[in-house]
Amino acid sequence: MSVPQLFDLLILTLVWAGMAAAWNLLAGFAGQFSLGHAAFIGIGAYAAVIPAMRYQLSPWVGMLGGVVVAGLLAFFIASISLRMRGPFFTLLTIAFSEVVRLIALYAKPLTNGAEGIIVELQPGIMNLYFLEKWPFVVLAGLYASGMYLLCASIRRSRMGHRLLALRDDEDAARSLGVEVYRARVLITLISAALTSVGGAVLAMYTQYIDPDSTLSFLLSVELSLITIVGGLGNAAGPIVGAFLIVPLERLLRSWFGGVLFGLHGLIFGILLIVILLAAPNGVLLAIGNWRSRWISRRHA
Amino acid sequence: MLEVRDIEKRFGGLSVLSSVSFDVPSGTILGLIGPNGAGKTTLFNIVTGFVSPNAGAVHINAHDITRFSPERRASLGIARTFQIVKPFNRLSVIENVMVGAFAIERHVVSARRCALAALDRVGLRAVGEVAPSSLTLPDRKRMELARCIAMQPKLLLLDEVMCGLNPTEMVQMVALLRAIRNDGLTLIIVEHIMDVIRELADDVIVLAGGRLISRGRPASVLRDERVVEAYLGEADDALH
Repeated sequence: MSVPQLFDLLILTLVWAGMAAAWNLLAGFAGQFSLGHAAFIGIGAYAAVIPAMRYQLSPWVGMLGGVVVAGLLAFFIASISLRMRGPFFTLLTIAFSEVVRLIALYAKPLTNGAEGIIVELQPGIMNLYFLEKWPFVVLAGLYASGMYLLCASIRRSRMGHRLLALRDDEDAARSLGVEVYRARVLITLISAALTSVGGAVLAMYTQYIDPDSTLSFLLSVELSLITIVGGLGNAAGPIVGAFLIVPLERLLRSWFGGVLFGLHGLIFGILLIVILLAAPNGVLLAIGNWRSRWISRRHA
Repeated sequence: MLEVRDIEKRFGGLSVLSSVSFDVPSGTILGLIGPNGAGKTTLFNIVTGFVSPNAGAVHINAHDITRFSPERRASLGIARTFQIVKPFNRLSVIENVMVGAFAIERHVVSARRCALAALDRVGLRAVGEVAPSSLTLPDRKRMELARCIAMQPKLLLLDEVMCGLNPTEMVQMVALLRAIRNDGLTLIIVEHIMDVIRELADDVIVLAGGRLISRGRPASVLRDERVVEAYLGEADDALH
């Protein structure tokens, strides 16, 4: 594997790790299983690209705008779904992200519809546009590690304790003074806003966006897949999951993609089933269990 | 400190509570007894805000809290345990108690200190780092009590905390509850074990079929004809 290929894999893995960490805040910490986070990836992507291409605004500014828009939309979604739990909430998020995708598809004057937008800017840090890959390795690394540190500190904080309590037993949490609705709205907003940052980084790296690559339902599934494989509700889970899933998927495609149509997908699916059977609560927990079993066997 | 006035509650056509009124003076222990299905848990839920009554009012220190949410009541100093324990299973024991402490503490370090003190009080300090699922049922009940203590509430409602304890543990629990009361808390306890009521309660109210059928000192209430009658058909040893 060449260095650019390695960098490519690393960048994608890190960005996905960061976005999955943001998703984990809502699904893993608050127990609200969203399958509509693609909407926030897409909002981040379009917010960074459109103002830059049309009005020569720095994508950094656009990224900030995306954070605000994603946050506001999440606030709205969370507010109308306060009493929804489980599958009802999940369905609502799917419907929401489909609406956003359709808007991107048909708001042609703004988004260029299905044709998408090719990003071409003066290279430089202000434009978040580089001809080499290494600046994106740094950027994606900062995003992923920032997200990890944020999740780990939320986990240890007052907010983290209260969210996890809420997820495990809403009534008991309320009886201890946890403001259910406020906590849920706040974490949805944070999760969406941080996901959109990843969407912006991804768009600036791939230098091309269209509704399929930034708003597809499969992207929401990918976020949940990475997190569940790594360890739902665990700050390090999405990081571990991304380093497993993203390279596996890409490598299988490059090895088997040309052999037989769909073969890489088949192998990926089978491997996924094996992983989930061997580590139903995530790889991170499984490793912990195996290690403690190994240690106790050595002491026996 | 707590005033409950003319509470009515119907679930559909079924009347669960009708014209229930009582007071709990500050620093006392009220025993709430009655046969199964008498409406004790519904009354608990009305006082703590999980169920809203069709009529009537709940006052705490002369403030009307009838329309307040459970979390708002918690912040006013009302804490409760649940008859069916509700541990936060994916948090450790001490983290469970910290959730209670976070109702009054903003910082992790002080919440942890507060939680440790509460665990100490219920005798669970040694198992702070384990998962609640590895505790016995009585210990899980103790953990719930610690969660409430960590909130430093003014009014504490306990739903059968004695359930599953052996005689020695029961004596310890009675001593603990008395100590909590001596700290200035007001308690309402639902209990099936009448010895505990006799030992602890300053006053007793008896619910049967959604009505208050008797109230007064434990010794006299437990001899009341109507109370004895209400319990007939219940477990034989209920009043012994």
